[in-house]
Amino acid sequence: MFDPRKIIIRPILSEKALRLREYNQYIFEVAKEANKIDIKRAVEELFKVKVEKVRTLNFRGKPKRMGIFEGRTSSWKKAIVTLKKGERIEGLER
Amino acid sequence: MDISITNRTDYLKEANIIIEKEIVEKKIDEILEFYKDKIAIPGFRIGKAPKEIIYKKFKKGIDELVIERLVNETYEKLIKENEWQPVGEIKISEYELTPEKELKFTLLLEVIPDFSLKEYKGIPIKKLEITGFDKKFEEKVKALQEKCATYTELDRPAKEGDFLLIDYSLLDENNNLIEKKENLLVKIGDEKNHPEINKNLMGVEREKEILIKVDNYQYKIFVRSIREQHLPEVNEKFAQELGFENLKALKEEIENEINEERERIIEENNKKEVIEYLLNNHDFQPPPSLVKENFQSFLNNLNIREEELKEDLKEKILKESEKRAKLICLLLKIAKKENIEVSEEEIEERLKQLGDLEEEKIDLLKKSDHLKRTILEEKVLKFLVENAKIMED
Repeated sequence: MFDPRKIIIRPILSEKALRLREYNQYIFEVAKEANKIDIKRAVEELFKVKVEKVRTLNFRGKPKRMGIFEGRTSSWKKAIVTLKKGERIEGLER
Repeated sequence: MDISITNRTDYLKEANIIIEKEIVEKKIDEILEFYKDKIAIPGFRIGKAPKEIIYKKFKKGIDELVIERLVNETYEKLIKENEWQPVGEIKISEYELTPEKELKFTLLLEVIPDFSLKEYKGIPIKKLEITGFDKKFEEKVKALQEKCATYTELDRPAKEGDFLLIDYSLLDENNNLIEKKENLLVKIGDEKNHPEINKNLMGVEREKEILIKVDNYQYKIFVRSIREQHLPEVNEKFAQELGFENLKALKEEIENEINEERERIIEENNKKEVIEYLLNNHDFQPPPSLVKENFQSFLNNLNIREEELKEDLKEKILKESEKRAKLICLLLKIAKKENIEVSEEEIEERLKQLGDLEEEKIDLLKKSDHLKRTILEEKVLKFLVENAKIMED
């Protein structure tokens, strides 16, 4: 079953993310396997808004070392969602 | 701000307060403005995070701070506007910051009751006739002489006026030891001794032991030696030995000491009369928390717990505490009317007089109103005595 909560993991709150809101764009961390169509559908369903465009970026985990063990942090996917004109998502400051 | 005040009793005030949204929001904003540049939030450089985000993240702490500050501000305002003089504890209950950002709370505080102050300037004080001061000078000189006295050993039975160096043990009726002392110098015929002891010591010989029965007790006394006292002559040499420049200086010092003593007695008496007058001429109920506070400090001074008190003594102390609480109310009221205040310097000065105290204790004294109130009470009492009318008989 399609579950939007499994696709949208969390909104990203940073200076840049807030700046983009002026252009009606919102940034989310999303599931790695989600595609733009899934993300569009998930945002529309979760926040009851109309989505204009979705751009995605993949981040590779950073290498980390814990003593003698070498590893990396998990890779993740970020989506910049542009809403249609006049749409807004309230209460994302958490 | 919506404040409704109920006078539960003369001294107990209840204030129900509702602070509107605008004031609360302004206060939140004030706090956020202050912390904005000090908080690091991931994703933002310091000082760049918007206030809403900071508030959402630290809502609980900020709300608590807002409540604390608004309650304090309202309390100060209430006291000032109503000219209340709070004593004892203050209770804040049922406080709530509603989701609509309205702050509601109830303040319950005890204040100095609203009684009318009768005339306190020109309180009649009976002039104190001090007796027994004529011989003070001789007594003091004699005490000094005795301090510098020399002794010679005697080899004869003791008689009145001799000094005995003794060891003694005090035994009760079952021969249990109560007290034991060694190398004690006693004078035969001294008023301070029990007459039975004076009588029995007469005629004793050195290195002998005697038993003296006084009431149900027994004194076992061993006489080490019998001595005669030689008082030094009061002259220039005597004065110099005591560390004075000359005899005149010594006499002056003694005179001063006597005068100070006399003044202190008069001052104490005047204060006592003023206090009695005030208490007798005002009738009102002091706040119970103030009575309780005084009761507790009485117990602390006696170093005793409430449970250990006997009923009659407890009643006595309670009565005294009530008097003291009443007096505090009166003095504080007069202080307000006469604008008598205590400055920071006076507190510092008093702390210095108290001597070397630990840092923590000093902080505690400074924080609590106790020291300030004590100084204030003294100042008002002094003011009242200065303005009193001394009546000659």
